[in-house]
Amino acid sequence: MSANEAGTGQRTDARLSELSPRLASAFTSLFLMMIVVYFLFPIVWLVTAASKSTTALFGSTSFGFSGPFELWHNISITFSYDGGIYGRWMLNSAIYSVGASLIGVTTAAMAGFALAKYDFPGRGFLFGVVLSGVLVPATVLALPLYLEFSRVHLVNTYWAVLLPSVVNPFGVYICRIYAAQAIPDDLLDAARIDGCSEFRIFWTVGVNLMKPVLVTAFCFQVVAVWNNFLLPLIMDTSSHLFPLVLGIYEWNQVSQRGGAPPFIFNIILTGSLFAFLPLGLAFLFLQRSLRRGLAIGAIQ
Amino acid sequence: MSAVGTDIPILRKRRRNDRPGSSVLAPLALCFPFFAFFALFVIVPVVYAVVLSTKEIHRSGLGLAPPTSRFVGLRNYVTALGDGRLGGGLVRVLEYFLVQSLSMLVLATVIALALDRTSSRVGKAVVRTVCFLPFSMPLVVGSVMWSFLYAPDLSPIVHAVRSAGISGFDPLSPHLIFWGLTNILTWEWTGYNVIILVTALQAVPPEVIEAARMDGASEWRLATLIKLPLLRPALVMATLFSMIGVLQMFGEPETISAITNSISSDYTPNMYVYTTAFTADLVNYASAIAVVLAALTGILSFVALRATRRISAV
Amino acid sequence: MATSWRQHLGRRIGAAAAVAVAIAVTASVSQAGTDGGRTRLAPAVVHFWSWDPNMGSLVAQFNKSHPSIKVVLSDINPEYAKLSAAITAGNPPDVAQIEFQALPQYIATGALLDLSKDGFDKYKSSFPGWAWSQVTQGGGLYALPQDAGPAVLFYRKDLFAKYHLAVPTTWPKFAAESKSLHAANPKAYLADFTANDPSWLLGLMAQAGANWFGISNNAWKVSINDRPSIKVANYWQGLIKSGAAKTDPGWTAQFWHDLTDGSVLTWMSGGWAADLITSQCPSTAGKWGVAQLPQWGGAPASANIGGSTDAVFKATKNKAAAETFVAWLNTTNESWKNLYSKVHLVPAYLPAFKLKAVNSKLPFFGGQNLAPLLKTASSRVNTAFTWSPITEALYTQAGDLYGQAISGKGTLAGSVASLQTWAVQTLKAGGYPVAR
Repeated sequence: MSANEAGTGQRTDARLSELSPRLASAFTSLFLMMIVVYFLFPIVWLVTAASKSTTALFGSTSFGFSGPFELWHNISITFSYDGGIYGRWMLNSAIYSVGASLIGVTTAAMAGFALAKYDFPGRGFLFGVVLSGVLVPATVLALPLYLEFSRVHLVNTYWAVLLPSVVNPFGVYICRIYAAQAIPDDLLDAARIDGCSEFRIFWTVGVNLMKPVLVTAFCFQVVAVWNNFLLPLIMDTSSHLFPLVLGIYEWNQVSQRGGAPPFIFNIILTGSLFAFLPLGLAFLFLQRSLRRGLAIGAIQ
Repeated sequence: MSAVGTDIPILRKRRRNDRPGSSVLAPLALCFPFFAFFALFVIVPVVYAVVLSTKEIHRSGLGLAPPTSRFVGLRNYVTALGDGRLGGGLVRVLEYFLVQSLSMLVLATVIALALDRTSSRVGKAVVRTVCFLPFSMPLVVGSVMWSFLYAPDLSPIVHAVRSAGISGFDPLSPHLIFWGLTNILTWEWTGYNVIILVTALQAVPPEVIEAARMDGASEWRLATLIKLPLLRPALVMATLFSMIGVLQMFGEPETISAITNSISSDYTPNMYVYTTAFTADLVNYASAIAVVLAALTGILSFVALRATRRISAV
Repeated sequence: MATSWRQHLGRRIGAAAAVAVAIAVTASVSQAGTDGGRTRLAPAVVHFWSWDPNMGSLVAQFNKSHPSIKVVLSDINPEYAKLSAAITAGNPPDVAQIEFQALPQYIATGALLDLSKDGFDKYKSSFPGWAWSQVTQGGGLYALPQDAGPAVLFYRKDLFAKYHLAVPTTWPKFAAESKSLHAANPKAYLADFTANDPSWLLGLMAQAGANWFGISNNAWKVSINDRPSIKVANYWQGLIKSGAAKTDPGWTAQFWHDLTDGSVLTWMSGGWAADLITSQCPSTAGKWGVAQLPQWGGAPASANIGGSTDAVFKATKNKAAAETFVAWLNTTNESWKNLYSKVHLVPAYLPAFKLKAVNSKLPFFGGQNLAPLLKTASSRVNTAFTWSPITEALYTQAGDLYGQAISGKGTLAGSVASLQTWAVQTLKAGGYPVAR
């Protein structure tokens, strides 16, 4: 694009090429704003629904707030209903998802690193096994898992949900891809020459370079375990072991039976709102620390 | 560095010593924890399910005594392969893949690229968090939410469409349910794919972008000729996981089925597995259907991976 | 040194894990109810699975008055998937609440205790004939009836007055009023055909004389497409076709909204529905009335929709305690006083209808006392009505078929015919002998 040519055509061209980045920029921002509206719209609805009374809820189609603003009231009955079981359910969800994800991402990172950076017999086979792990639908694994845990009398305990949730084939997959791209062989060789054991190399070199994918894998697994419904449904009979999603499901079922308290729908909606907002907040927080970590890596 | 290394005999010798027998032990040891969990909680149940699929229930008399199960070989598989409900469900999920998954991936790519050229850090964080929220919403919550958002008389969306003068808009009706469910899937999973693609874009070296910009490339050219090709591995992975996810679709149609007459209990193959196992108590047949579904998913994944490898090789 | 640090950490983790495992194992062992040997005076533990939200207060009441027994309640939704899995694994609860329609399925597992061997036959006369016949099979008694769901007509008294409608006493009158109402106000319907709730339609078919299953010569008889069923199917097909019946799925936000804002004026359901209307449509308080179902002619008839029983499992380690609890819960007035007022169940136990608590005037229903109405309806249920072991699957299949018929792919009568074929196939696939 030489600037040496004269002529009106070239001048309009130059003006257009000045305009178009700004126009394109405006379009991009507009597009992204529309996307944000699309994703947020149902969630905003949930917030306004959680602030309504039952009458207002079933009586109107309005999107905004209508009737008396009862969000704080709904929140307080949600957290105090049935002896405060909601708080217990939230704690259980945190235990299951954080616990399983910590172990899960660690084991996935180890396996992904090994599969990416070492050439050993059976490597292709093992990777194939990992991929095939995502092929079998959970609906058919639920009953055999139940029978397995029943045999060792671990049904209806924390382990029944925690242990199977550790398995994260997707984590192995993305760790392997990332490790293959982001960890240079030379770095590993240099560490070996310095006399480091393979495990030490993984913990110091591997994990450091894999931080972004570890955070992503952790976030995804936390969400998957937090929302896992079928496994606790089959394993747990005691209410105090339920994760939040199962608890809300129970409340939803109860609302269809006789004897439910009149505010059951309010606590279902309010409870639903708080069932995943913590995840969003945690993600926001982790994203910021991840960006900081990436920046540090870039400086290095 | 390797060029330097080969010149110096001492270093070369040390290199070979660094791959003794322990270098087979190390990766296997690193893999062990994952595969131990995997064996216990995936392989054992899968084997059990496969064994179940080769059996059948037998009762004597009126059926007042507990049933026994007997081995019938591949009979359940023969039935499954001729089962129109399974076939219909498979065709349906393939339709969803071709329409919903592919368009969603295009949308996710556009969003990721648009996000990449945004300079506002706050804007980026907002969009990324907003992308994260839909798929982090538990299905149970989604079902309650959509039962209101799609209910003809309670939905603000339907209300708005009606006010605009368009009649007959009912996302739960038989002729619109495909789009109603597609919308839910797109709303739920686009953000997930955006995050994958954005993470992949972060791996693009900034020097490459700078060099291209200095060469005078427009943003459009930058996106299509540089970023897109670099996104290919992530896109392939995202497409693959979308396909597997859609083939195994269960939660979303299951939760919507309670509020509409347009979704049957065998709408997707995975729903058919669930109904057969837990409602009809036919665990043997359900296991056979699940194995057929898993095998089909595996074959399609294999074909898809092969096809993309051939494309990138060209 | 690095190695000793790692060993130290490893030891710490190992100890923590051991403690955690110990806690988990102890917790699960005590939950399994094997604490009979812990203290000499420990009460006998009875594990009870139910899904009624307020059953806890009944359990507490029982435990207080029976200090040698401790009933532990598990609130379980959905119960049947878990119950089937637990039976397969060999660790069912001691007592479980099982609906009438699901009982044959659990009898067929062989896991239920035959209560007739422990003298429970003495309760026969305290229950309506249909309830007793539905808990017996092949000469054995497998559960005690708990609550019933006699089908009645719930209607919006205020809107009936507004549209000058009389309470329809026959089905032809019901059809005529549906059409005239809808003609007067296209947004209003007399009834909503809930295709996703096949128990509702089956109740109406049973009222017309349908009886889909029977046992003869040690084999199951299937007669789903009998004449009453086809008659009722065609009746509703006509109403739907003429646009006089709404077709919204039941038990949804939209459904409660319909009942609240007057889009739908009636709901025919079991007596327990009174409680649901009260909680889901609070702004319609005082506007409802309850009447017997419209009739086809001949002897007055009703049907039972829903209702549950309580069964004891063979695997129980505390049989006497479990049986004491089941008997107390279902056949004592002190239990029924609270079962009615706190759990809002309609008694199957006939003497309970004499209780003052059961005969309360309900302000939500304009001060009406529902008990006499419900008792009469219960007495009009077909005593020969029989459930099959495949009810859950049958309802799922029926829901699919009715939904398709509503969407224009076929007719309700056609659905009934398909259901007949399907049921015969499914019984055979489950290993049950089917009579030809």
